[in-house]
Amino acid sequence: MTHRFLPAALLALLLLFGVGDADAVPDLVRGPYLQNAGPTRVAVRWRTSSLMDSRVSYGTTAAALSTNVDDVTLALDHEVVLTGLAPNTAYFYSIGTTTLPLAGDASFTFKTPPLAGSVQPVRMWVLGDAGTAGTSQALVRNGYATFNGAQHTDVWLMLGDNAYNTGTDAQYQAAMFDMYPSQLRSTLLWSTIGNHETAQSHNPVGPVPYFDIFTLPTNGEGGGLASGTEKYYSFDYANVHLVCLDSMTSDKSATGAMAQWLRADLGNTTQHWIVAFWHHPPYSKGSHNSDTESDLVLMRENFLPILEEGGVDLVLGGHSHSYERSKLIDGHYGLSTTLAPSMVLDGGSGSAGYHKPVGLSSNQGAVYIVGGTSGQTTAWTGGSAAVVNPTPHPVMFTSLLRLGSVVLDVNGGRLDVKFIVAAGTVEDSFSILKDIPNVPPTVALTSPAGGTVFAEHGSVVLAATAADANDAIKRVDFYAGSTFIGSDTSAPYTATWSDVPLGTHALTAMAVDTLGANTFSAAVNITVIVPPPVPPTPGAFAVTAGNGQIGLTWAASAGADGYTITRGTSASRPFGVIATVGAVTDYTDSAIPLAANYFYQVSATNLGGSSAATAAASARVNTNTMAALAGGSVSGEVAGTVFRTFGVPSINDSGVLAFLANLSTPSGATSAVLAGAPAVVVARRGGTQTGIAGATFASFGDPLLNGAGQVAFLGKVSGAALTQDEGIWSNRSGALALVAREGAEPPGVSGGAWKNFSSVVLTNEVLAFTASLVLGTGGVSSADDVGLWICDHTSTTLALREGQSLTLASGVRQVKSFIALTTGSIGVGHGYRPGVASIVARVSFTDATQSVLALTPAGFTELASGGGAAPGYAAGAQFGTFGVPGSTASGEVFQSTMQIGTGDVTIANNAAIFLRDGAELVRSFVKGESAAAADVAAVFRSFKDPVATADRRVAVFAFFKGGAVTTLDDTGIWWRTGTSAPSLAAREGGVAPGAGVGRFQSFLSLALPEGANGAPLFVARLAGVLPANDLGLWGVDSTGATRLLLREGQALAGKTALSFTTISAVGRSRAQTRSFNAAQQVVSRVIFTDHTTGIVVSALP
Amino acid sequence: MLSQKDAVWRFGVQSFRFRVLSSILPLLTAHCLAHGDLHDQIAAITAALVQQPENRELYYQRAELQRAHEDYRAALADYEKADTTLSAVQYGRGLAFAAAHKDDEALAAFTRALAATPEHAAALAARARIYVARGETAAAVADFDKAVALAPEPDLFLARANALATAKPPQLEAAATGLRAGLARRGDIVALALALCDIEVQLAHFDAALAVLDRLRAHAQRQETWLTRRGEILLLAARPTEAAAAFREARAALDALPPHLRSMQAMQKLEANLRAHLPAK
Repeated sequence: MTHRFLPAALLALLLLFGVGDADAVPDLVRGPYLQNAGPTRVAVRWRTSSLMDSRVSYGTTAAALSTNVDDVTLALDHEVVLTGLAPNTAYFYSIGTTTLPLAGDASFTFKTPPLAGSVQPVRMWVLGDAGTAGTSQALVRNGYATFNGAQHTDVWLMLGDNAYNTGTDAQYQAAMFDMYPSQLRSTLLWSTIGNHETAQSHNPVGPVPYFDIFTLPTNGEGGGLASGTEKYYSFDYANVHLVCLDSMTSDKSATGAMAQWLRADLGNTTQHWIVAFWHHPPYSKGSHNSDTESDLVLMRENFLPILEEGGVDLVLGGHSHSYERSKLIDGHYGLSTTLAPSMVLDGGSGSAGYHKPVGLSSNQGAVYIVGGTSGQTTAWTGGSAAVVNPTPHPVMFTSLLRLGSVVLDVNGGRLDVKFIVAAGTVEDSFSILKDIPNVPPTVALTSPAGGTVFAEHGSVVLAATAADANDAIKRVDFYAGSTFIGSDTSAPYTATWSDVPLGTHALTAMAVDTLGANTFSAAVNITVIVPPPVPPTPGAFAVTAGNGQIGLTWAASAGADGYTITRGTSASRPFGVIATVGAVTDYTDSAIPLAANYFYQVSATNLGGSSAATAAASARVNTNTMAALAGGSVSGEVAGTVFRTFGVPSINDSGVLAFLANLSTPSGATSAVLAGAPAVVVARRGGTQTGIAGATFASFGDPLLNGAGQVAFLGKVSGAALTQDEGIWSNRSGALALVAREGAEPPGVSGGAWKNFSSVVLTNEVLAFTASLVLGTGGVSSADDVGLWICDHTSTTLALREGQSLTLASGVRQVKSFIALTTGSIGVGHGYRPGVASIVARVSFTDATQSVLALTPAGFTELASGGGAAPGYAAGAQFGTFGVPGSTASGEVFQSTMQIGTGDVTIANNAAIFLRDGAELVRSFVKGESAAAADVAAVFRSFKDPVATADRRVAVFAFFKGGAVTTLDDTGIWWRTGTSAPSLAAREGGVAPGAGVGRFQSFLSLALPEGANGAPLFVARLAGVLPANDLGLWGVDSTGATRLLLREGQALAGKTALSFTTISAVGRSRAQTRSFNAAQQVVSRVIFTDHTTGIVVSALP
Repeated sequence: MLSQKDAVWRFGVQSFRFRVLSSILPLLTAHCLAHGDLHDQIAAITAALVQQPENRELYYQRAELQRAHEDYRAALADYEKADTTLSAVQYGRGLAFAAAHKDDEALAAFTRALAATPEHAAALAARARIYVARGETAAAVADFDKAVALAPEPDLFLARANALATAKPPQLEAAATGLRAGLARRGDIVALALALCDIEVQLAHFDAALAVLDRLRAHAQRQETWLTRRGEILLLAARPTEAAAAFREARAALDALPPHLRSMQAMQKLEANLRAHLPAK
């Protein structure tokens, strides 16, 4: 029995009208009501109109209230504590004096709380800001009664502002005792203090009726850690831990008594659920603004971090006269404007449940409710009185201005929350489900390897990988046997074990996930031994430059079990380790990005340590070979004959070169065609020739070269008429012989005469050329004065001629013009098939259609025709026009602009590249296809001059668009094999490998060698560098990396490259020479800054 | 045990606030009863002042509402028009000045309030906090002593101890004495016990610290945190064997928790702390 404070007003009344005695018949003024309950106790309180003693009679049936608890002290406010009760048990009771019953019937009943941790259905009723003592309050009360029906309410929470306006005893009488008499005598009630309990004062001076009316836990009477105060406390009900905080009168700092108690209390509970409640809500845009009012701000900033770390699931507040209900959130402690998406763990309605891990867990999300509409509603922050808040707090899922109360139903791992409006219907609901099981993490020790031997007192670096299926890795701990080595909280997980002792050790890693589960890795055994002597420094260290690589050799060091190789770009700069190798005596460094000087050192290692490093040795990687240089001697010529300048060279797959050169001889200057390895003179100015009697060679074009090392060239002679002084000579049949000559009658043009030769090619099988005819000879007119001839080893045949009528699949058409034996403006393919006497040509007909034809001495094959069916598209798609075609060893490649409206051809896909491989014609690149290597949203826009190889590799210069692509970076060199995803070898605006800060600005030429490692070679212009070094040659190596081969400004053989000519420039000469081969070698003519020239062969490593 | 209402609210000071608020109640309509209706309440009083411009109680009433509304400038203006001879008015002024960081004015107002009502516990506590901020520890402690005698609130005991413990030089013995008194008066308040435990350790009163801690342990169903703290105190007391035993007990208590409780952040920190003190499993 506790004596309650006697309100001054009542004392005054008693003084006026006299004090009653135990024998008088008192009136029951308020109650009874049920307070401070625990599983075995409950306090029964009531008030009488006169001073009386007290008795509570109780029992487990209404008919047998066999147990009495008395207090003979005379009091107006009575409080009898029943103890020794059975948990989770319904009791009936009556109240009165020791001589006279006052009240008690079957509705006077209570049920003791179950033991903490019990799993059973629990219903809680929550009222906020209820105390208006009017119709609204009654409507909410009645709404709950309608909803609840006959179900027992286990817990009743009041969120403060229980009696307006200043929480006086009289106001409490009206707003609580007269409002809820039946609920009060049968429901266990707990409350928190609001601002109207203290008349708005944070430091109330004088008695506060709230503390007299309520008897609340101070000493853990209902479970929880003793707080020592009724202002804040906790208690348990079944498997729920309920925490009441004081947001009005207590210190709200993070270091105050309430915060310290809260931390200790949360660390003391083992309950499944945590529900916290106090008056001032941490989030609200109702009649109070949680961004601007300090009580709300302080509770949010100082108490939410504690609660969320402690595992709170649900927070209830009032103060704002609105119903606001949040999503599942965590970690939002700032203003509403600081809410980050990562803080919203589940932004859904929760109608199907917000899922959380089983049991308590830190920071896995909570729902925050403002439930202050149990007595009235008040307009939102900003003044709106709309039912739905037009400007809600961003954490809220629902914000309503509706009278109502909140119901919590807890059962095991499920919490159902409902907002019940005055009609007794559910206006909002959600659930929290603790149903996420924890799957233990996986972990594997990745280093050191099992069986590794370490030196005593040395260090061992342990590394592990860890993963978790349903949450995250908290940390990985490392152990040697049972000895803890270290811990790491982020990947890659590592720890260093220092000063390792002798012996064999079992190393393990233990991964711990954020939900507490842990897993040990399989053990890895290592051995620690007394270390041997440190080996001596390796001797005979030497480096040797190779083609794209540098070789290192050294003498074995006694006792070494490995070597460490370091590299730097100068002797004085720090060296970095590039490799550790075993007990070998050589190493090849092939990962060299640019031709430059590299410095190397090697040290010998064993468990005892590392020897001193060798002295540094350097070498310059050799990706470029000077094949001929001005001033160099000429093989096979008289002593003193040297090169002066060079024309554009060719190279075949065997590496044999052919080129035109100006020579300085003891007898004077001359020019000559050279070929072979070493290159020797094939024809020289002034030299005799066969075919034109009495004439000598006067000048030469750049020679052609075939795979057999044979040459052909355009030449002029002196000693012949001007209209007959040019011809094509070749040694393809052994001796140098004239193949064709101006003025001669061309095969297939009776009476005609050749005038000019162009686009000459030479293969092992044929020599082909195009030529124009002298008008008027043989009836030649401007409509038929150009033809293409193919010369095999025995005869020369007219293969195609303007004006010619061709019988195609679509009918007979007349040739207007054709393009053959030439290249496009960028793509440097070749219009002939090596190994096959076949020439590809694009033919334009007089009816404005086009076809792609394969020409042989025996006739032609129609590969594609405008209006013909195209593969890769839907049926009905038709070719339109064609670009410059090329050939491969197995077929041809060409671009076509398709006819829009045929098949599935639209403006979005009306360009494509086609490749013939044997008998099959397939589509390769197509407009509109993803160019994801440039940008995930990019697609190809157009193509220019494809080049290809026999194994269906295609490279092309292409435009693309989409995504972040701009006009500054919308072109590039692309390639693919078959239908693989297109690779981007280089891109406008992209970093140019090996060129420092230089970026690709434009692409000048593109080639694609045949061969197993054939990959794009290209010449590009750079931006961001000086004009003196803005041109370079790049190639894609066998790893797919783009590497610089040759660049203006580059040092070569003691000279500096001023400019160079390769690939594209060759294609523009009349002779279709080839400056690259299947071995990915590229031959260039280089002009140096001293105005000398040379021939350089570059090779991709 | 002394109940809170007996201990805290037995002042013998008539509540001026309740008296004046009751007088204005008829002015307030049903829809303007809550804090969120401060504007309405202030407007209602303003309207009443039009009719009763000399009513100083109404100015006091409005000043209190302005202060609750955190409009300290308006509150102070109204306090000046209220009856400034009243303790409650000076107390309100002091709180408004303090909230506006005008410590000198706040101190003067609290002193005037206390001159009128010497046993005004809240004013004493408020003035003590001003003294603490000014470094006047002796004056602060004197006010705290009077305040806790009138209203033995845990926060006041704690504030008194902090004032002494952070004074220059620290007055740890006096701080400990106050906390012991608080614990004797209010029972085992966690915050007071933890503060006393820390101060006893600083004073090298290790057994006393352990005794405080063990009283807390007696109330706790989970022991791991308290046992770890016990081990730390024993280590500081140069009693490593007992410390190791405490850490082992803490580890055992931690290991006995279900996985979901072991995964709580506080337990993860505790586990890391224990790993630093114990060899690994």
